[in-house]
Amino acid sequence: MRWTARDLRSLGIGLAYLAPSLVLFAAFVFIPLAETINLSLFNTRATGAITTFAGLDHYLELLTSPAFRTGLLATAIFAIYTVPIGIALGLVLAVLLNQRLRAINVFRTMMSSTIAISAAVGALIWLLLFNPSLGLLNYLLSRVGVHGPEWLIQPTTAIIAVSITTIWLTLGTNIIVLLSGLQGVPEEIYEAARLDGARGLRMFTRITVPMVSPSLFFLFVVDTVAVLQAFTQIHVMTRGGPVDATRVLVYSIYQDAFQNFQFGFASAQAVILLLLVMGLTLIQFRFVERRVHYQ
Amino acid sequence: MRRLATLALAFTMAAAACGGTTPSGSTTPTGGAPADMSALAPAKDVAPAATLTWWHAMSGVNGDALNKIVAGFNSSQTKIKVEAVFQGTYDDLLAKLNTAIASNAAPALVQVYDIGQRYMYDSGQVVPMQAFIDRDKFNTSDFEPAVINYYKYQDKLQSMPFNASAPILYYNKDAFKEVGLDPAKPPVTFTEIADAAKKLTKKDASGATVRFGFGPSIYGWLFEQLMATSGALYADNGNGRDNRATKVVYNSAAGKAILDWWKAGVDGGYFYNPGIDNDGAANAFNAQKTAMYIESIARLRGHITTIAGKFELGAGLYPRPDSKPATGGNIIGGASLYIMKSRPPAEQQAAWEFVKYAMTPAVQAQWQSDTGYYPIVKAAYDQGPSKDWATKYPQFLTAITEIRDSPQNRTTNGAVLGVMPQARQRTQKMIESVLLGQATTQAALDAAVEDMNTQIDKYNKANP
Repeated sequence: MRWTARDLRSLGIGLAYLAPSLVLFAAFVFIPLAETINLSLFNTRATGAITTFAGLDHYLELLTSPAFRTGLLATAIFAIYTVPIGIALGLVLAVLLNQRLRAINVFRTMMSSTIAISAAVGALIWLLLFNPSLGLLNYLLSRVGVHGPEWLIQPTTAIIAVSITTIWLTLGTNIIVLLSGLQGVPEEIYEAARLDGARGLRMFTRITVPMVSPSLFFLFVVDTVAVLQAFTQIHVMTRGGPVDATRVLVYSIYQDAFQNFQFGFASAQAVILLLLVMGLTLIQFRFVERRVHYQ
Repeated sequence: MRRLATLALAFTMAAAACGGTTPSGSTTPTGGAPADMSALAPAKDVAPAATLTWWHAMSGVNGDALNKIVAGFNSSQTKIKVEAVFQGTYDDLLAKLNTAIASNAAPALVQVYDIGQRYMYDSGQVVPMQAFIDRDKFNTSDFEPAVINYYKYQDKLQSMPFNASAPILYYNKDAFKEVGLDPAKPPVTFTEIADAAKKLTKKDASGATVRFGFGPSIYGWLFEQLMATSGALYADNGNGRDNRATKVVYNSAAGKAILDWWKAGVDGGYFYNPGIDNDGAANAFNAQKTAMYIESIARLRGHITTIAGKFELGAGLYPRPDSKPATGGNIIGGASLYIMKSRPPAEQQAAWEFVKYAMTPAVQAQWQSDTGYYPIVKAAYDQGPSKDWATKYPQFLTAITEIRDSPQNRTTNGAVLGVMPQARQRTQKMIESVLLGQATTQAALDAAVEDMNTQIDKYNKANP
């Protein structure tokens, strides 16, 4: 095919229209990304200045490092604990909030209010709640005769505590997205189903869930990506401990880059995280999206 | 020429022999007077810049006190205006400084914590404080020796100590009286603390513990201090002071004794484990969930305010092994001020003017009474605010007594490592794994040491 003057002109116009976003993407995504990949192939001084070429050394070290494997495992556990429960809980609450009741907006605002709370503040609140000796949570448990665990001190409960906090933090967004999905379901479909004798749980699993499946899928993808990048609550509550139980990939990148000043090694982890997120998202689109019902 | 070489060799060997003999060797090499560093400072006649930015990490009460010093300096003269910028925690500040250095945006004066020392030195971005001291023949003879020794590397002061602390034992005198312990005699050795903690531990009818005897948080600094009071080195090459450290060596008998003691206490149910949460440990003590704990003197003022007379607060010496090794003592903590090389000479000059002001006895005395950090300059104790302070809160003198009673040697000078922040995290993980029963004390120590040695190796290679 030969380029005519018209083709070139339209390409020029197209690029001109795209220019603002291309410039922004280049400045904030592509250039830093290229820089990260580049940095992952080098050793650096503590100040970040590049010293010697490392080739794939950092990657090889990661693949053989037990600490990195524990980190991946922690990340996976964290995602499994938070994403499904967060979405399920969001759906239940959204259905409850999708009623025509007097003052329902008050409840909607209340239930989705965590969207307005910063992760740092939320994590601090939960840090206090989880305190084994002074926290409200174990006090309430003790009132019903349960001896509460030392939440942030035992590895198994620490990851649960951080997950609970994360679910709570994302709940607001989940409710809003699902509520808007629910409100987009035409009333006629429910009416038709009712005429066919569908009730309660059957109505929920056969009508509601498929009809909001685009929203559910959207949240599944977005929440997974968000959870893989979760940092604040871990920084505030556990700093990756105890014994690395909550040292997810992002936290280990942070520690290696900004506390240990090993920028090359941290960059290599960042590249792996990027590949991981991309891979997961692809898998989600490939396999899960098939079950999504678009109207 | 050959004679000169022989002489130099002999000199080097003598210096090495003096520096590396015993952990109790003096910090001052006896190999002759140190070379003058004046040349590294701007010339004396460079006029100071009109404005100066100072990054610091002091928040809350201590931040207010710091701003008071800045305001005092700004109104004491008309030539220089200091602008203090709070940059978050010590860790945050160092991370930001690192970024700023890369983009050439570092301020002229920065406050960096104790363990950032080697990193600052290796960055090559600092004008050694010694350069200004030598140039102006600034007199440091009245400075607290332990503090000044901590910030010296090979007998050169890299930075000016600013806020100096030490860890102490906090204890609840009322609880002591309640169980028949003498509130005037806090326990000092590991066994004394364990015995007192057993007595102080109280259970309710259901068997749940309502008060633990002792509740230290899992804080790497506390372990470093326990190594020092044990008279044991943390790192090789004289704690990284005779030469750059190549290994950490805390997997010694001293390290094992510390962890065994700690583990026995937690397993026995008379030590409380608040995890890595230092605030949590302090809160548990305030709420009388624990009767004793160890932390920096810098928390004392906060405790006095929070406890507000609900119980009588005692301050005792930091724990040490039963043998009370004579070579053991406490390391100073806190932070110091660095003048950055990348700024123009005029700004460095202005920074030096401010540093000198901050070191005057009157400012030091005020700083002490506002924060609890003890003065760097001994003459400060003769000043009004310091005297009033000592009368009102005698507990504050615990830290300085402790530091003055510590022999000055490589152990008590403290470890200097480029990877010190990371080493601290690693010891915390090590203590966690022991307390949680995931590893025996010796295995945990060895694993931590092995990990850190790999990191030190990496660091030393990357920062030649």
